[in-house]
Amino acid sequence: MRPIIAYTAFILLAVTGSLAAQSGEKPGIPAIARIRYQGGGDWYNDRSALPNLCRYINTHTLVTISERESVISLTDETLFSYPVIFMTGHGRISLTDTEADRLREYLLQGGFLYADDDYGMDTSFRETMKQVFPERDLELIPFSHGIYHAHFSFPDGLPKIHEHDSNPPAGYGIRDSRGRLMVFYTWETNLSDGWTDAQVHNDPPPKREEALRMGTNIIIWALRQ
Amino acid sequence: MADPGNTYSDLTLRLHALRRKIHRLRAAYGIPVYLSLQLALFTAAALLEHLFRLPPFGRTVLLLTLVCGSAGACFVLLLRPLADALFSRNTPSDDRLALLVGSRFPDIRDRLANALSVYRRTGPGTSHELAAQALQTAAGETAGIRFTGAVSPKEHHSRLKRAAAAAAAALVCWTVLGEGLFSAAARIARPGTAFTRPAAFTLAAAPGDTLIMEGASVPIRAEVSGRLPDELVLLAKSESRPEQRYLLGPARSYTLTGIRVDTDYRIRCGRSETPWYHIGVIHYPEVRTLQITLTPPAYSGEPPRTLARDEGNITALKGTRVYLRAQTNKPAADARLQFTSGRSLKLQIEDRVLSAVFSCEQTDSYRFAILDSMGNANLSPVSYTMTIRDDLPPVADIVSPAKNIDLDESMSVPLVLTAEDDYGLSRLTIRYSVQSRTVNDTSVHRCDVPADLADEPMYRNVTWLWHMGNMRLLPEDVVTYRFEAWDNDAVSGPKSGLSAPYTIRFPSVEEIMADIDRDHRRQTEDLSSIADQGRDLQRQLARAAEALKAGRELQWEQQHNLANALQEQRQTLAGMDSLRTRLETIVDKLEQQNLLGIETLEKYQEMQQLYRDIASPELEEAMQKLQQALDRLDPEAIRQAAGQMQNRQQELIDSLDRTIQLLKQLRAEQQLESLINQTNAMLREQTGINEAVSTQDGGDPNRTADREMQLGADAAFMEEALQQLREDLSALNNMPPGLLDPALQQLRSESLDSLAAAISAQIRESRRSEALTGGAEMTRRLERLQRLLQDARAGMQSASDGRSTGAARRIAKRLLALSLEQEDLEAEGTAGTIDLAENARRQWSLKHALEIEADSLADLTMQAFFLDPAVARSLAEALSFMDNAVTLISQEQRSAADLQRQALASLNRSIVLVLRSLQQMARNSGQAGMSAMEQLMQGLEQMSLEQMALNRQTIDMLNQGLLTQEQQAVMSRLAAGQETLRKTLEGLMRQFGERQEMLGSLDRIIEDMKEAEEMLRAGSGDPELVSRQQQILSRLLDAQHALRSDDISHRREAVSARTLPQPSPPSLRMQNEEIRRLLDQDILRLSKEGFTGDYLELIRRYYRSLTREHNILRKLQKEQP
Repeated sequence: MRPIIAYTAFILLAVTGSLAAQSGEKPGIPAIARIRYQGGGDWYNDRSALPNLCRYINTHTLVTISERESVISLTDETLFSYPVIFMTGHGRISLTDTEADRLREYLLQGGFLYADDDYGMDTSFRETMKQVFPERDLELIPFSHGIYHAHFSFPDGLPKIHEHDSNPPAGYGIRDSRGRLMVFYTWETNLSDGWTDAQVHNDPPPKREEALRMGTNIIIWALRQ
Repeated sequence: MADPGNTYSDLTLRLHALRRKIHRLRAAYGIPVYLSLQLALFTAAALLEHLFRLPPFGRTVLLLTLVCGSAGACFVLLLRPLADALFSRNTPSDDRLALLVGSRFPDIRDRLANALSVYRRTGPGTSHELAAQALQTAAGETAGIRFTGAVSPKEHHSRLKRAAAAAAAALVCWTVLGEGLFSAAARIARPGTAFTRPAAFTLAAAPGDTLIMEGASVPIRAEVSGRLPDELVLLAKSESRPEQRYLLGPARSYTLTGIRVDTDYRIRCGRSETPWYHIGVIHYPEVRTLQITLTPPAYSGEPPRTLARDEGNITALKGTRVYLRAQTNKPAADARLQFTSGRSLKLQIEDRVLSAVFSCEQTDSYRFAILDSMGNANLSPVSYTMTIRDDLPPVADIVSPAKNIDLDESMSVPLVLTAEDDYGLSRLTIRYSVQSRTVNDTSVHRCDVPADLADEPMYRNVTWLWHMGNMRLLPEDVVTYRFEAWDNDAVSGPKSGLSAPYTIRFPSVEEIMADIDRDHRRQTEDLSSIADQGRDLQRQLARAAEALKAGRELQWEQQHNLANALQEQRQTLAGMDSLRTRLETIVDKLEQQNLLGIETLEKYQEMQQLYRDIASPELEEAMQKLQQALDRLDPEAIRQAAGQMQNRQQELIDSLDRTIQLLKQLRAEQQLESLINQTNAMLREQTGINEAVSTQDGGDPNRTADREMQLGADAAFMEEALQQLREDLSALNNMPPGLLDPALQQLRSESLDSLAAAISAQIRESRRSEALTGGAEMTRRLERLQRLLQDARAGMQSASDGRSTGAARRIAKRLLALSLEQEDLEAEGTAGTIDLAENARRQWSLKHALEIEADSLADLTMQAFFLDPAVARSLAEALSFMDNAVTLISQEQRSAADLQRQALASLNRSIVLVLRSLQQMARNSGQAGMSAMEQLMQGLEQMSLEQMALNRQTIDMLNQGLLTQEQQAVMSRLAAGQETLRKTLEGLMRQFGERQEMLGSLDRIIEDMKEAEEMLRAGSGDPELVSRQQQILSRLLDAQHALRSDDISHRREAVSARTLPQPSPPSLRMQNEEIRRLLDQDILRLSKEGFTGDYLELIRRYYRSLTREHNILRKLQKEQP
């Protein structure tokens, strides 16, 4: 009798465990981390953006990345574990010298930073990039660059998700000495707003789809480099 | 009548002449006829023999016949006519001749013949006279006739033609069948011999044995006669090939091509074949084996290497010695190496061995030119390449600082340099030039970087401190430098590689001040964000405390958020050290530039103390306790820890605010100081210009004029800076208005830039006296400006000092009064001369009054930086003791006296601190103000805190159940507090009316406040009151959040965008030098990975073509419109 009970319990546990493992998010590799920074800017804006993007990538590509958002600072010891880091906000970014050096090291060693101006971050972000890379400038990325075609094709460049100042969207980048894109910064488009839950900004589905597709391109490109 | 005898003789003579002619003609024509006939006979006989191959008997008969026929023909045609002609024979007879004449001359007919005949027959029975008469008649008739005319050669022509035809036919036969007829003739000539019948055909091969040059072709031809029984087959064989069969076609020939070895051949037809013939082959001289050894130049450190056998392609460094040895197939008479460049190198010959030694100097190709003893040269010699491998220049890199920097006071720059070369380094240098505003020097200088290159000469990592103190740099000078590494190329001479250029700037005081100003601004912003973070935590604490006091448990999310906020603050505060370090850096910079006065230094020292006090041990302890309580999920512990934390948090926020205000004050002062320094510098510059103009050889007037123009530009810049400073000072409330107006007014009215422009023009036009006059006027204006700025500085100092000290004194005075009251109360409480209710009421009143003073002092500490921050802590302690005393008294506990005593002590301590601060007051106290936004934010925050406190007190009251009269009085007081808040809010809304749209629901908040007021005044214990107050607090907090979130622009909207088409930006480029360095690095790396020389050369060519292609593309891009 006992063996039967034990065996039955084992089977139940195994089934339950596997079902539990099946439910919820896929494990995936931790690929993207949101950067928490000082300076007053709302780094925490749109918390559903990254999980939604990761879910979209897992569904539409062969890549499997973790859908759980990781939030780290630039001094966090796990920084170098993430191939991609993400910054957004509406306000000011302030990095200490240590953080700036660490970010520089991270990027030069192969890391990738994607920054999205949620409106109001532009000036501060540019100053921050000058602090990190005094010798390099943010340069406009042409539409022919691979980042616009990494998985989905955007022959006309960035899609414009939100209005902001009604300027054409622009993608800026900083490359290392070998031409590898280390930093990609989107301005006047607000891709990350398009990744949030639909009810947050009530963007039309085609806009959200465009934003997610371009987001997929960015991550795939970063992982591929 | 003539004598008939004579007539007869005459006639016979005439006939005899005819006879002789006939004889002559017969003889003459008889010879060719005879010969022709003879030929024809002979030919016919030979033909007969050739065709039928007669037996001996037949040939005998034939020969006899031929002989007889020839004899007969000879007699008839040749001999008899000759005899007749020679011996005058009388044939034909006269009668025949007469008949011939008569036939030839029809008039005569046969009368002549008859006449002659008659005459001759004259005898008995014939008439002699008749005969004579006939003879005479005949003579007469023939007198005019030439008897020789009776015959002509034409009569022989037909015979001759026939004979010629026969001869011709015979000749044709001889032509066609010549050999056969000759053979036949030969056989006829020997009729008795039995000849064997010849074969049906003959077969021979041409050219027979022959000698050819290797590779030549030989046409083989079959010479045959007769009927071939079968097809002709050529058989050829050699040592290397078995017998081959080739059919000879109708042309009966076949060409053996490309014969390289001795070959034998024969031709076969049926069972007949020719003998074997031999084709001998003469070989060309050629190289059979080749061996090359390369010895690279010594500096490369590479060992000699031998190429693979028969490998003739050389890839080597320039200067490599090549030892070449080749073996030929035959002895050579002459041998050379022919280079494509035109060079020719004679090879040493030892029988079949050729050798040479030469040096690789340039990329080329070569081939062997060999002659053998017969003068044959080698065919199609192989062309070998000789490729010079580049000795690449070194790759030099500056690892640190790897960016443009400013030179600090040490006048030294630590450099970390790396250099790498494929064969070795010989020297490391820094190559630099100095760009100066005052000195025109474009020369390039070098200084050696000491490094021991003996070990591992191909790679060097050097750390070196570059002392620039002896370079006589002036402020704003820029040193552009590059690291230069030289290789050890001893053949072509050392080559160098350069790093990317960087600059070291010797900053001017203005730049340093601008740098410091930037640091100030960042510090202010950093502290503001920390303060915001602190306020956020404070709000969360308040919410948590409210919830706990209401008996509710904290939700998980609340706890989580609280824990996160706490953790963030701990991390942020842990970073305060870096802020302090940055502040120390600012102080160092100022000190280095001798810009740090005593007062300023003291202010910075105070700020450093403030920084240290921000993260006080009490705060740390409170955070620790709260964290532990959250970890344990103990509601009571959380409540207590949150309460304590709130106090400490408020202290933190106050400290931060105070520090921020001090920073702003310092920044304003530094900016003014910078402007004063700039004015001083301009004065000095103008003095220098005036001197240059006044002296005869004051240098280049254009340069002097440029200096004056620059000064005018500086004045314009100063006006802007002064305007900006004026605006900044206007936000500092303690500054008297218009402090900088006189200086600004002077700048604007006196137009220094216009004056400078005029002076500059005068200098250029060599109008010295006018320029000097203008220069003097400029000096006066600058001096006036200097005085005005100094006055402004003095005014700034005194303004801040005066107001703050007065306020501090007044607060101290009031605190003292409160202290006296507290002392009395404590004494009465101890003595027991006061009842509890009165004690509680008075204590409560004192507490209330102290709260007011604490608020005033809190406001003052934002402005008066000389006040010790410990004052606020002491006051907070006093308040806490008073509050607890009220509670205990209400609970009828006598031990309240201790608390009252402690409250008194804290209060007194506060007074002492204030007084001490007044005594030790720093000279640069000031009342810093805040921007409108910050004031609004602070107002809302303050209201939130007060609302929070109000809510807490309301809850405390309501929790006690039925309200006593005293408690109802408290409720009334709370209502008054609520009303105060409402009015404050209304005041805020009026003050910041233009931002009303940003504040959203403040109207609703005011309405809620009114309702809460009424409920409080009614003394209602309705739980709705608590909810309403919570709602008020939430809306206040939301308003703050809305302000913070909206921040600068109210135009931000999350509105879905319309598509805006645009052209693509241009293609990304990399700098040529960057590419070259990358490629050189890659090639260096690859050369160490063991690729063979040829493959490495391929890689190098690929990279070179990449560079060329990039250059072309860049050129095209530049050329494109």
